[in-house]
Amino acid sequence: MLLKYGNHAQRAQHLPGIARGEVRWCQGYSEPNAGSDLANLQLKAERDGDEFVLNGQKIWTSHAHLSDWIYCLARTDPNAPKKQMGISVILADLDTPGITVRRIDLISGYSPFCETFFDNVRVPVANLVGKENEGWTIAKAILGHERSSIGRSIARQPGSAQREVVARARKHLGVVEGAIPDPLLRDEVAALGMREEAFHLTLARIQQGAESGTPGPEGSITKIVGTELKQKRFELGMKVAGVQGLGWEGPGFDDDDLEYTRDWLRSRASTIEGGSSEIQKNIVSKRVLGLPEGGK
Amino acid sequence: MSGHRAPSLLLNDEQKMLSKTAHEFIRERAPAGRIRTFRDSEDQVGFSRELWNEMAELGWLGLQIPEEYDGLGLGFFDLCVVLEQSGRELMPEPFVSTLLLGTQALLLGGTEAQKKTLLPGIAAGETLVTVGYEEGGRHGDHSKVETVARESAGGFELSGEKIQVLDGHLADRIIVSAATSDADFTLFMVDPVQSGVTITRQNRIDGLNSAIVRLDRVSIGRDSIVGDLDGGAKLLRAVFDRASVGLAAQMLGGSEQAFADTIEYIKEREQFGVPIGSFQALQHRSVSVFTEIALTRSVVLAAARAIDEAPDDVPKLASLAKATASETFLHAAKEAIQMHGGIGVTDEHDIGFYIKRAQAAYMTFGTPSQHRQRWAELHGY
Repeated sequence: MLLKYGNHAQRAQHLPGIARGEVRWCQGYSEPNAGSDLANLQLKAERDGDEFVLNGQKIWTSHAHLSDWIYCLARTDPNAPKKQMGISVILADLDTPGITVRRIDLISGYSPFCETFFDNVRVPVANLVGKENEGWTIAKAILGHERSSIGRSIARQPGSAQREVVARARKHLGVVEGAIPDPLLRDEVAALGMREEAFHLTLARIQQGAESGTPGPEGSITKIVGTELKQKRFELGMKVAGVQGLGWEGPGFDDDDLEYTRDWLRSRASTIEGGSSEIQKNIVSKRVLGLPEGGK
Repeated sequence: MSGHRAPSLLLNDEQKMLSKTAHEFIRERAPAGRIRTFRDSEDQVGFSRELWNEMAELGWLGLQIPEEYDGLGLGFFDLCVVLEQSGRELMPEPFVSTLLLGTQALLLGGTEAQKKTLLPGIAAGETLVTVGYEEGGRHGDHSKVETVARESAGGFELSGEKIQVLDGHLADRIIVSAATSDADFTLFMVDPVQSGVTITRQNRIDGLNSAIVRLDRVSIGRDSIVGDLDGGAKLLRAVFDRASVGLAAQMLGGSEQAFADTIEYIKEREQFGVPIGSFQALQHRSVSVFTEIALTRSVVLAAARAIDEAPDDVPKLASLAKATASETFLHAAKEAIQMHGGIGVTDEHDIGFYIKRAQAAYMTFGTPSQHRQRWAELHGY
């Protein structure tokens, strides 16, 4: 974001620290009432001389408790005619007085996310990225980047989802004449393996299309397919484990199974974060299929 | 695919041009509604010989046939480019019987004499060659063959019955599977004019033409063997792999056209004062179909490429392509009817032909669950 939208001073101030791995950043986008409807965000940023005064709350700020800086979407013009207007991107040092970070426990027991509260937080106007009230364009560009990187990060190694589930099936169900003994489960594993291969071939096709200068519309579906594939993989991995997949902690369960169960629970978030599958489908139906705008 | 450097999944400039030309030609000359015309007129041929000859002149029938047999000597990938377009309009012309079954059996197992006799005629659009493998009560298991071939003085004597032999009513040659030992069977070339051969035309839902082929002590020489004696299972498997990929290309085309027609329809059709395509319920269903088609395109292109360039990958990728395309086409066809609403279930509208072809193609060359089972075996579980 800084590379593309930051000014010279901002890049000089922040990029070296990021490049050296010394300064960590988190993203302040979502709010309790601005999830899928992100443009509804309410974090207030009021001009006071050469400072912005921030008041409000961000949620799902990944790793905010470990971060040094945050880039926020804030409402700089509450009277703008459309809610997408009047939004600005503002940078804040998390050590600034008035900022409080609280971790959120997920169903998996992990806490990768935080809530971040702003109470009369004063940051210099120089921390505004891009033009005031025109932050929505930047926000959308970064979300697009995030979605494609989620799609790709899920990709992992081709065939690895199938290998993982087959290994768990062997561990928990045994092997009869080389095969997973339950033919219905075997069918489900094969369906997963096929889906995984189709997904990887599609990623390859998208990349080849982009390299040849003729990108197709398929890029829009990678987040949907990739996250559903990830969930299916964990569901099957849980299914083949039977009751051994039910452990939370403690005796009677091995560490691999305990960790797998936590990861299965964590995977439920993948079709929500970074734009839910339903929001992705709205975008594809409008931008790719050209279907008319309707009620949400 | 093990090494996983992905094969090229793009069409080159010539193939793009071929795709465009085929698309325009077929859309204009061979719309899906012809299925209704052939059915209602009880046409004895069931497809257009004239159109088949024109496509021969365009070079499409001999795309993959080597130049020494009067073909163009291009790849299976090129053939799939045309097959995809033929699938868009559900063409009843003998693509599957002659280009996918007969031609592939000849290329993979035919003797030099058989190839010399038949391939030039296939490329010219004059000769139809099909394969009869389906028998009653087998439910897609083609490894057990009831038709028998008994050794006789000059060769073999064939007896048995094949059902739903594609284009069996017109084929110049029918390659049939017949048991030659307890362990295996053999493929034999039969000329239907021979005594003992009875052909009875069948009518299916999907507009493809087929026939029952009865063999009653049909005498044939040893030179009628296609491939090896007792080598039928392996050869037929290899033919089915290629045919599966070609059929998957047609199913991809069918899915694309059913989907395109549906999107066009829901943009136009108004209820409650707005186009029904503005309803999220239909938008999300549409995106699901779009997604499945995108995935199917990738696997079909990969499998077609493997036939030309990576033979070791063919069994896995053929099963992947057939299973995926079968599910996608049936899904796209069902969704097409649902989103068309009442008009979609009338015989008057062409969209209903897609589900019929989808069901037939789903059942042909192995169902998705059979291919998943094979995929599992090929991956060692």
